[in-house]
Amino acid sequence: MRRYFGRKIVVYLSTFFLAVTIDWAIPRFMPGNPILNLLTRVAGRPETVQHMYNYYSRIFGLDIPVWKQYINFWIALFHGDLGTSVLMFPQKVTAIIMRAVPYDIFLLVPAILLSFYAGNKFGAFAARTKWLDNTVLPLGYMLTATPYMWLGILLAWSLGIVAGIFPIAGAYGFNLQPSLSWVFILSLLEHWFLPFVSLFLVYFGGWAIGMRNMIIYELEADYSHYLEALGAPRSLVRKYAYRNAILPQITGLALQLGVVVAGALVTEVVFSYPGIGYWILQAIQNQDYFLIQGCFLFIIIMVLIANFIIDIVYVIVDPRTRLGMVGGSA
Amino acid sequence: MKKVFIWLLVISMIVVFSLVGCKEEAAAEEEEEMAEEEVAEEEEMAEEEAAPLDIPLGFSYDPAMAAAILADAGYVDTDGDGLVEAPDGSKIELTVTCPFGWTDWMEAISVISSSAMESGINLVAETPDYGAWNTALMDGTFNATLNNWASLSNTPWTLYNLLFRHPIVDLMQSGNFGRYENQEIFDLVDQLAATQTDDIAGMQDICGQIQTTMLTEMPMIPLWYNGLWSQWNDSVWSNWPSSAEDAPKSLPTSWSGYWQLGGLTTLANLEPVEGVEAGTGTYARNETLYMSGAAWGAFSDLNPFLPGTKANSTGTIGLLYESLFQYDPLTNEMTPFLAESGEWTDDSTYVVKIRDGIKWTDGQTLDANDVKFTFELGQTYPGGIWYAPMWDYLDSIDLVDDLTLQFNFTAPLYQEFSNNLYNIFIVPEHIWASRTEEEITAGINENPVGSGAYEWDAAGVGPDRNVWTKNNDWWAIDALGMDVAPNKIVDIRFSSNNVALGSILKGEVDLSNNFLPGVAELVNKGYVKSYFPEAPYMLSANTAVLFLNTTIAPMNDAAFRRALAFAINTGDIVNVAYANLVKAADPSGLLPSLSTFNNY
Repeated sequence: MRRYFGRKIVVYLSTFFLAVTIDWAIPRFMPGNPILNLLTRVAGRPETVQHMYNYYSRIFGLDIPVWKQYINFWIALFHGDLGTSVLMFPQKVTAIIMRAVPYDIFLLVPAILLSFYAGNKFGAFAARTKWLDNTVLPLGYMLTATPYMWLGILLAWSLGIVAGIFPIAGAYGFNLQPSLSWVFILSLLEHWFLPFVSLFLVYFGGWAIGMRNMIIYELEADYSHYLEALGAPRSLVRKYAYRNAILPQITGLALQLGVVVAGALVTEVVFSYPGIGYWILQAIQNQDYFLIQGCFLFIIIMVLIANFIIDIVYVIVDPRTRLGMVGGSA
Repeated sequence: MKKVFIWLLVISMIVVFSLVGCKEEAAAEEEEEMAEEEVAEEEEMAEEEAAPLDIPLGFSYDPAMAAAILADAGYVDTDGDGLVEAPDGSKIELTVTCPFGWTDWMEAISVISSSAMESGINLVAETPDYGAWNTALMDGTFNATLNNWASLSNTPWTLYNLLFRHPIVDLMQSGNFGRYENQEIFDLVDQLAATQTDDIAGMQDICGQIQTTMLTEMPMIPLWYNGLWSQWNDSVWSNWPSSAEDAPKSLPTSWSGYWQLGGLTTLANLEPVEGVEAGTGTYARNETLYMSGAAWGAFSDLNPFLPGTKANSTGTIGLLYESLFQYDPLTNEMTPFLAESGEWTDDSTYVVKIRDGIKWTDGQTLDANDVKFTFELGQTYPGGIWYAPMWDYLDSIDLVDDLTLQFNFTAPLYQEFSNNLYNIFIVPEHIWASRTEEEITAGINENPVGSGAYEWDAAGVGPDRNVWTKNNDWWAIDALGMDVAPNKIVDIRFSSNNVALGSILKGEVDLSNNFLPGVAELVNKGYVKSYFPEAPYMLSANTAVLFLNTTIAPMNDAAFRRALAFAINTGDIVNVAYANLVKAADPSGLLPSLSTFNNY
C-alpha cells in the first residue's frame, strides 16, 4: 500500500513540476508584450514612454533575465504569491482567483458529480431495454455532441428571454448585495440553474452512452451468463455487471475533470458567470502572464488532486487493485 | 500536451511555408526580368502623355482616380494577375490588421481589403490576437492597421498630436504608429500646441497647413467616426438626451472619463417613470440606474492615476473624483466645474479660482492645496503619472490664497494644458500626501474619499458589477443647482453581446453602452432608443484612422498611399460593416464638433 502511494506521489510531484514549468513558459512565448497593453492609451510623449515602460517592467519583475524570472516565480509560488495581474492591475492574482473559485466549485462540482451518477445509473438502466434504447440513446448522442455554448445560448434564449423564467446573466440578482438571506440564496440558485443545466445535460449524455455500451459488454461476459444460468434475478446480474462496468467510467471521470474547465469556460462566457473560465479568456486575450499562470496553475492543482482522489477511489471500488498491491509487496 | 502538439504543428507549417516561399521567390525573379522590360516601355509611353493628374485634396471612394494615381506613379499590373506591381517590378504584398474578436473592425478591414483588391492593390485582411496586434502597432512592424485612440477633445491639436506624434522612437506607443517623418508637419503640430485656444483664426490657419500636407502626403487615412454606442430602455427612467427638439442635449454614455464630458448632465436630467415598483431587492428598482457596456473587466482599482485600467471602474473619474473644468463635446464649450473661473492673465500665467464650499466626502474642505498637490504629483513622480510631461513647460504653481492658484509657465503648450484642465482629477491632499510612490502610482486606493456626485459602494461590488451610491451632500446641488436622479448606479459587465442585448430588451438594464450590431433595426421598431431616431443613430465618439507603415515599400511612397485612400470604399464600411451605425469621416479626420477647423 505504502509503496503504491509512494510511487504515485513521486509521479504526481514530477508532473506538477513539469506542468508548472510549461505553464510559466507558454505565456512568455506568446507574441506580444503585456507591458505595452498596460501602457496603451496613456497620452505620454515619446520621450517619456520608455521611462514609463521601464517603470512598469520593474513593478512586474520583467526587467531581469528570463532564468531569474523563472527562479523568482518558484520562490514566490512557495510563498503563495502568484504575482500582480496586468489586466487587473494592481490587483493580486491570488485575490482574483480566490474570488472566482467559489463560483466554479458551486457550478462544476454538482454538474460533474450529478451527471456522473445520473448518467451511469441511467445508462445501465437503459441498456437492453428496447424502447429506452431506441428513444433515449439517440438523444444521448445528440446531447454529448452538443457544443456547450450552443446549448447554453439555446437555454438562455428559450428559458431566459422567451419564457422569462430564469435570469440570463450574473451569479446573483443585479439588485442584490451578498448577504445570508433567503432572497439572496434563492437568487443565487436561480442564476446557477441555467449554466448548471447546460453543463449537466452535455455530461449526462456522455456518461449514459458510455455506461450503456459498457453494460452490454459486461452482460455478454461469461460470469453474467453463468449467473443467469444459475437462475439469479435480473437485478443481481446487473449489479455485478455495473460494478465491473463502472471502472473505465471512473478513469473517464478523471480525464473529464481536466477537460471540464474548458467546458465551463464557454458556459461562463455565455451566462456571464464570474468563474475562472471567464478570467482565462480575458487573461489570454490581454497577455496577462501572471493571471494566465495563476488560472492554469489552479487547474493543474485541481486535476492532480482529482486524479489522486480517483486513485484512492479505485483501490476501494476495485478489489483487484488491492490484491495487486498485496502481491506486489509480498 | 495539446499545446506542445500545436507548437510542433506551427513550427512544421512555418518550415513548409518557407520552403514554398523560396520556390516562389525564384520564380518571381525570373518574371521580374521580363517585367522590367515591359515597364520601361510603358514608362516611355507615360512620359509622352505627361498631363499632370488633378487629384482633389479631400479624398473619397473613387476607383478611377485610384487607378489613375497608381498608373501615373508607375504601379502597373505587369504579370496579369489583376494586382499592380511596384514601379521596380516587385510584387506588392500587404496586410491590413485589427485585433481578433473586434467584430466591427474585422468587417471593416475586410471591406478595406476587398475594395483595395478591386483597385489592384494587394492588401489582405488579417486578425492577430490583441496582444500581438498591440505590440506590432507600437513596434511599427505592421503594414496597415486601424486605430482610434484620439479622445473627444476641445482642440484639434489632440488628434493631430496623435497622428503626428514625434520624435520617432523605438516604441511609438501613443500615436504616429506608421512612423511618418516630416519635420515640417511636426513643427506645425508644435506650433498648434503653443497656440491659445481662443485664437480660432490662428488655429484654423495652422490646421489648414497641416491638413493640406496630410492630404497630399496621406501618411494615414481617416475613414469613419466610431459611434458613441449607447441605447436605452425608457421603461424606468425617462428624459434621456436625444436629437429631438425638446429633449436635453448631453452625452448618453458612461465610458471611462465620459462622465466629465456630459454623462453627468445626463444623470441630472433623468426623471423616474411613475408607477415603477421598488421590488424586493436591496436596491429599489425605481431609484436605481442599471447600465452596462462601460466596464471592460471586473473592478480593479479606484486610482485615478493608473493607466489603461480606468475602463474597469468607470466612475472613478467623473463620479468619484472631479476635474477643474467640464467639456461638453456637443456645444464644444468648456465650463468651470470645481473651478469657479480660470483665465490667462498673461502669456505665461494662468490663474484658477476654486469654488468655495466644496467638501470631500469625509467632511474636509476641497481647496487650492488639493489642486496644487494633484498637479505637482506629475512633477514628483515623472515615471508613473501620465501628465508629468506638462512639467516640461510648467515652472511652478503658487498659492495666491486658499482658493486661488497661479500656474507659472515657461513656454506653455496652451492646447495640451486646456485638455489637462478637464482630464486631471483632483485628489484630497490630506489622504494622498502620506502615501508612498507605489501606493500613488500603482495602488488600488481602497475606501476612496472623493468630491463627486457618487460614492463607491464597497458592499455592493461584485466580480461582474460596480455599484455607486449617491452622495447627498454633493457640492453641485447647491452651487450649480445640479442634482443627479438615480440613488444607485449598478454598472454591469456582461461577457457577451447576446446577454447585453437580452437585458436591454427585457428592461433589466436601462442604459447600454455596448456596441450591439444591428441595433438600428431595434431602434426602428421602437424596442430601444438611441440619440438619433435614424442613421447614424449614434453620436460620433472618435475617428477610426487607417495607419500606414511609411517605413516600408511601397507605403513609403506618397502616391501609393494616396491611391489607397481613393481605393477604399468607405460607403461599404458605413453601410455594410456597421449597418449605418456610423458616419464617414471628414478627410481632415476632425470630429464634427471641430469642423470649424477643416481648412483644406
